[in-house]
Amino acid sequence: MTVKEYNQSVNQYADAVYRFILKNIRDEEKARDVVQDAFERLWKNVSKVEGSKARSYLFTTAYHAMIDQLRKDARETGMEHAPVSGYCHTEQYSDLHEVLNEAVERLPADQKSVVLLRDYEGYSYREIAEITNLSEAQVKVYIYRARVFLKNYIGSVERVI
Amino acid sequence: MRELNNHTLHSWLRDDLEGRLSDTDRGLLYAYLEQHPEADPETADDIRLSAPVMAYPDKADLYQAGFTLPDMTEADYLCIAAMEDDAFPEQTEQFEARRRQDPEFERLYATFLHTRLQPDPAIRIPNPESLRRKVIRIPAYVYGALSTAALLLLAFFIFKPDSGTQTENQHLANEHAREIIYLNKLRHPASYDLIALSGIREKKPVNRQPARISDSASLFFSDDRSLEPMRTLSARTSPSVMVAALPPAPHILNRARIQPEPLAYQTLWAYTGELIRKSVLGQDPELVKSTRFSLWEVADAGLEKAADWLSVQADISREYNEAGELKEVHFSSPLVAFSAPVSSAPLR
Repeated sequence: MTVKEYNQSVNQYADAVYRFILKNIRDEEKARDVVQDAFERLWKNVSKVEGSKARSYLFTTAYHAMIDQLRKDARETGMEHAPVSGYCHTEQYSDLHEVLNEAVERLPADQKSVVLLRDYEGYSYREIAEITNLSEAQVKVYIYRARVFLKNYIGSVERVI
Repeated sequence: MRELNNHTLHSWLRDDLEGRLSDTDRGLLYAYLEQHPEADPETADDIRLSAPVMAYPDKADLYQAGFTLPDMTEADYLCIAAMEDDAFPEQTEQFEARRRQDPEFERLYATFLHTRLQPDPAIRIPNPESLRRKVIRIPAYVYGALSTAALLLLAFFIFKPDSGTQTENQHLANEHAREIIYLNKLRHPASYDLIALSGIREKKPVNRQPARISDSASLFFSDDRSLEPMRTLSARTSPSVMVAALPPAPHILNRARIQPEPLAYQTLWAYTGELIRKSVLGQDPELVKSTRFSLWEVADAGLEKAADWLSVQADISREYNEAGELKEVHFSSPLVAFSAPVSSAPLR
């Protein structure tokens, strides 16, 4: 990977990685640190990473840094994942996007990560499995469960005013 | 007669094919093959067991119809599978059929389609410029200059400047105190150098005014710095004067062009010192009679040569306090300039 390719990957992927991390950890400062750390690692390995693999490398590195961060935060606050079932948006609403965002925030971390990678970045099950170190079957299960949760949360589309 | 067994059988068979066996041997070979049919290549295939052609009757039951989750309804599963483009052909047919027949199923699918997340383009990483990198190729001469500066600094902090020359310099200064005073009285330029260089700044004196010898026979600098009295002299032009202690700087006398008396003899050590001063440091050994080198002398000479070689101006200056202790080091060059305060605490 050349310096030019590295800088191109900054242009192409920095925002995407940042969005993905920010959606997961909901802390701009920490998200920025994670992204900077990912690019720092990419720069250190610039001679080893192929230009075509930069995106995957960045997401993989950022994902694992994010998991470490989440674990650290969980230890500090003693908070566990919110249970998936039991949440449902029962009232009518005007902004489906907003409700969907609420629903995503309530997803368990694993499910949230894989569904974000799937929808935001369009990664295949296999690519998501490589990034997250899960099996393809696990990725598929997480995505299916997340879809059901999101569907149950937003309820029926008829609720949209 | 050759032995006929399982190991030599192939050799016998080859010889038989090529017509090299006698009738007797051929008879023996055929008799052997009749007794050991499994060894005959032509009959071996016939005696091997072959798998019977059989078919499992309920093979259709073993096919996986698709992925299922225990806590998921079939309708949900079909919708997600279709949405994720993950359905088997049979499932796709089933999905399409249900969409056509069941409006509720169609609405369910529409709801699932709304669960697809859309990235917010307004979310952008702040200050992406900080992530970019640029490779700057530093020319060799810059490396040289930086290395020289680094080496000098390193050398300084490893080997503190030798204060052993102070006594000798003081001695020399005292020896020539009369001449200093005399030159000062005459307002001779040499006294300017002597006085100024004996002050706070060694190479860049702030004030190059000559010292003034007062009626009370005390020696002061024009900027009214107080001087530490060292001893009292009886000069011709002044009944009693206080003479300042000069800080350690062997080349003060050098610059003042005061000629010390030549040494009567030379040790090998002194000769080597002179040689180094002359050839390496570029000093006149006749003017500087010290056989010990200050690190600063080496540093000055090294920097001067490096600067000449690189055709740049580089300079190291030192700042001393009133007690003659080194207080600060300044380095300046076209590329880098810095000031480094010097701790008086002993190095560890």
